[in-house]
Amino acid sequence: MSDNAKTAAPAGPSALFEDMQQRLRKGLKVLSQPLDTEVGATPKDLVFEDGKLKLFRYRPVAKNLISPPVVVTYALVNRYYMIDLQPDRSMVRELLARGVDIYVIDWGYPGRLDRFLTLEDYIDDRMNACIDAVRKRAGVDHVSLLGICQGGTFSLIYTSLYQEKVKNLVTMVTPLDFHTDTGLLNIWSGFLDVDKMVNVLGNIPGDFMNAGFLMLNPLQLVFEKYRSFSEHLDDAEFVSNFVRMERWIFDSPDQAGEAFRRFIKELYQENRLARGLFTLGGRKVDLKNITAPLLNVYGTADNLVPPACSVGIAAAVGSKDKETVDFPSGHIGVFVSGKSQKVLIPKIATWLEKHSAPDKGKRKAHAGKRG
Amino acid sequence: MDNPMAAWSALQKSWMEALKGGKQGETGGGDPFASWCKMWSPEGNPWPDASPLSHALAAFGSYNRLFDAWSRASSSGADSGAATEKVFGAWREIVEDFTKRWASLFSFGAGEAGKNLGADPAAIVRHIMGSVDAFREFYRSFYKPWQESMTKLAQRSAELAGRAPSAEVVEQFHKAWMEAYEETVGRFVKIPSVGPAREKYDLLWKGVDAMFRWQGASLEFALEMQIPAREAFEAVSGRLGALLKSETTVEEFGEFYEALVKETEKRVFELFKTERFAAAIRTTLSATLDLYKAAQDLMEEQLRATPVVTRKEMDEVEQELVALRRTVKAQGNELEALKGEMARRKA
Repeated sequence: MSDNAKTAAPAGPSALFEDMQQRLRKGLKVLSQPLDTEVGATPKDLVFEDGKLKLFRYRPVAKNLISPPVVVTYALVNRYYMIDLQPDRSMVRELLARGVDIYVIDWGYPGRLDRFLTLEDYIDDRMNACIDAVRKRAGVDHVSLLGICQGGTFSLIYTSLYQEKVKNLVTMVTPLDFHTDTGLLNIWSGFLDVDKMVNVLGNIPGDFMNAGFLMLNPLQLVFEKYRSFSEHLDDAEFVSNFVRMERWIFDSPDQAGEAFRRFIKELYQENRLARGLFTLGGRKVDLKNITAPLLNVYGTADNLVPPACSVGIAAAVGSKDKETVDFPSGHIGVFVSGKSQKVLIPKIATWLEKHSAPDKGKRKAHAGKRG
Repeated sequence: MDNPMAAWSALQKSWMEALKGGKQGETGGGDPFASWCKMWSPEGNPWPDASPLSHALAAFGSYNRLFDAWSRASSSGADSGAATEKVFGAWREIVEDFTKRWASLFSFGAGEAGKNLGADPAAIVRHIMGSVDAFREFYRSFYKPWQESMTKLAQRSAELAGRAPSAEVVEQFHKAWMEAYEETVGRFVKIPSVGPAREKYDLLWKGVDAMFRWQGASLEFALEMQIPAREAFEAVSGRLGALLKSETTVEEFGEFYEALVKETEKRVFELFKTERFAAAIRTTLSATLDLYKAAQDLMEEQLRATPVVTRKEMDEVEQELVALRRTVKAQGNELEALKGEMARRKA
């Protein structure tokens, strides 16, 4: 309750309405002022593109950069700017400040034509092209790969097949074992007739995916969140942050039909990756092929990717140097919570520095060259 | 009559009265055919009294009374099946009578030539009555259960309407409604299409069917979702009475709300974890996709007659385009690799 609510003099049902009216009046004042709701504001440059896919490099701010560069692979279902949502809660800014050279893959918004894109197109072709572009540009043999959520699963698959191009692997809130009964998505997806969905819809609408995510916690995400918002309507900073988060939540690209069909059927329903039965482009994906040092981070209160889905990654890979971090937050809190900015992101930067290329160590930022 | 409209009106009136009254002599009503004839020829009936149409129309009056009885039986939830059988019986008699008379007229004077042309009165009657009997069989095997289902639904609805309104009542009505649908239109839609023409028209039927099923599934899903909300409200409803007293503070409202959210959340998660709920999602989603598909198919069929490209055609072109892009890309990569190899060899 806001201070207004606590000091409201009237009692009975009318008290409630009077309190709401007061807050609404103040809120309207806030909303009528210009609000800073920009997302993904950290400067970056386009360095490679292939159709709708774009590869950006965030402009380094440190004099010495940790080598090799980090390529961030985000999930297909939401936009990558979650890692740079707002200036004071930006994983990107924290990492840049600590000398990490960051590239990020923007998968784009699939259109009609992209309904036929397969997981091979995404991983073997596009992701591989991005990593080759970074290697070529930075003059390195391999990169550090940082995969988030579904992007983490892609990173596991990629590293298993292209180990020679990956120096370090960081997976964040990444699902591997989809056959746990702790996650509602795991339970529900088992009942999905994915063939029918793709055959009828082509691309799977982002709004449909979003509805599924909101259903994971409907009271909090559909009602309680907005009630809380109404209580802070008079707080400009709160409103700005709320709008940014809302923008990210509802900025959901459609899912390329064929890739979605395979991801749900073979990973969610058949758990093929965890069982060592998954193939890509006719090659078996064996996670034991991964020998790169691994840092796996999961949220202990994550309801999208429950800990049980992610905790087994370290045991599944062949790496000798591996570390698992259980961070006390939900799926998004891993990136935007205050504690994440203070504790987790610096830890990742330190880990990357510790695992930087021994031959080159720190290298100078590209002088006079943007992007 | 000078005014043709007045004459027409009088004709309609007399006809309707005749229909209501039934056959002359039995009910005291007028013969509709005779009324019609009199309208056009006030001097008298220019047609022989024994004309088949006159008889058929008179008999139709009796049929009409039976039909009224059947309608009443259907709407009151009484045994409409038995009433329908009576209507059928009357209808059969009318057709038989009419057919016999018509066939005798047709063959009148035709002699051997008429018979050679297939105008054998007995054969005509036999053929037509065979069709009538076939129709009656169709009714018995298909329409009768339909009637019975509707009667059952009417009885169930009347029973539920007498109860106090509640979510259970809505749920039970919905179930009764869906059962009736499955036994009636649902069965009809499942009859396989015979030939392309039927397939074309069946698209519309399938669309209607998909809409009903989607409506049913959505309602079922909504009812499923209502359960935890209702239970939670019942759990905290004891506090609601106290809350509505004038001295209640905003904080107390807040506490009530928090308690309601907590109770609902607990029950919602219990429900969400069940396979029953996952199955409900599947059913609802499946019904939604069926509806979407039915609309797509209808649209596809309509567009085929226009110069506008259809989705199916677009899909084919796009699939080919994507395959071509992959080939071009792969060949481009090969070319680059060869260039690199050549450069290495030169060096």
